[in-house]
Amino acid sequence: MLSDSEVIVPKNIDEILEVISKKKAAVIAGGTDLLVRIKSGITPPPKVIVALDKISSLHKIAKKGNRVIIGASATYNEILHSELIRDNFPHLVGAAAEVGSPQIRSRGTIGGNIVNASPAGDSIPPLYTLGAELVLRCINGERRVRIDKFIKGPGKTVLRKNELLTAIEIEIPRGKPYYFFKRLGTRRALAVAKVSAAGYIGIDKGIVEKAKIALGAVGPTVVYSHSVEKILLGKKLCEGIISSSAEVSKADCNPIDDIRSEANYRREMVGVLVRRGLTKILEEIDG
Amino acid sequence: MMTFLDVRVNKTRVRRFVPAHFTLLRFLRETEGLTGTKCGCEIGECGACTVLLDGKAVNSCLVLAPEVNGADIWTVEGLAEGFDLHPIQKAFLDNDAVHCGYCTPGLLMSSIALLNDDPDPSEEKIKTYIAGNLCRCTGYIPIINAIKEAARILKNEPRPLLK
Repeated sequence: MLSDSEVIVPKNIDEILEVISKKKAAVIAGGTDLLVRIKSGITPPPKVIVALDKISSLHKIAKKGNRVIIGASATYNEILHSELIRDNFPHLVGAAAEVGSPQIRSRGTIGGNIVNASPAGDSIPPLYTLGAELVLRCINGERRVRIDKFIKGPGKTVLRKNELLTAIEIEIPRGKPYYFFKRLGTRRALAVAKVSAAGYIGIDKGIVEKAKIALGAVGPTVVYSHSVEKILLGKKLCEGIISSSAEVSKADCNPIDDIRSEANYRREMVGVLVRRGLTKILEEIDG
Repeated sequence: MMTFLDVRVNKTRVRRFVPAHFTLLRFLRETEGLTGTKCGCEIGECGACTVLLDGKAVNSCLVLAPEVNGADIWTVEGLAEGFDLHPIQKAFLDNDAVHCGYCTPGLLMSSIALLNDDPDPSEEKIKTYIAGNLCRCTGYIPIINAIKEAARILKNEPRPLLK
């Protein structure tokens, strides 16, 4: 399977940047996607594999000013157990908790999920709602790209061959934010999402002043539901507003029929998940 | 291409050259002869190959050998002390949680990861921790009962953690 591949385990980021500037290499963080694809014959075995696992600085989750910086190799488990993320972005914790299985969450990473760019990647919709900024480094320096500008299609990103995603930076919203993450799969463990939805609502004096809704697995990339955002802004969240949001969200996606589900079902379920998510927020506000 | 590994497997230090493209699963089974860890789906779905890597349950089929250099690895062979079975193994036997047995080594290691994290787990938590291990014989209820019983026994006679 991989018998012709060279496997390199660098000790620091500079060493990786050096390797990927010279060789065409496949970078693996947890390996839970790429190794599966290689073993299943979907991806041909790469000549060079660079494994990031040993670089502890890429696992760090820290606060700097009003931003949270997540190392790209932070595993789902590390995200689940991070108080910083728990306190600030509970919907990202919710998404991490539903990925794969305990074994996958021990190894799979947030950076891998992003670079893999599956429309069904669980951590991606919450990161869209937060406008997460990605730090891409190469031997000559770094650039920053917002997540929705980074992902171009299924498995397609603007990451260049010589670049490494090193960190995800998220600004902590001011005021009292509310979040949700909802997902549907065939079963709870080890099933890729058929549909997912995440939301971030900022409320000031009872009125919605910020709204970001992102839908997963219903298009070539995760998409924003701008119609829902338009309905919510400037209003007081109530059952009526939630019903119209659920209705219009269905028009904001472009799902397909595939092995996991059907387009019609996915579209209907977008409405259901948006309703459930916003209802949860309403309950928290009234709580 | 070969890679040099210096690891601990079930408390024993192992220094060995292994093919760099080997998975942790193949290293354990083919180089070390530890065939207790089973090879099932080989794509991280079934959990039969679950081992503890630095205390965490992982699918050994999805870890490359060069990535484990310096690590502490526990497999099912590390549970018993001689003929003295680990309480989790005894509980699996006493509760008929072993039918064909193919999933058992993986489920035992997931159970250990659970009990290391939480010595008194709720049923919900047990289900979460074993969600990555497929068993097609038991229907899981005997397995859940066995883990509950092992937790009770370990509370009275604790064993050193496999970490």
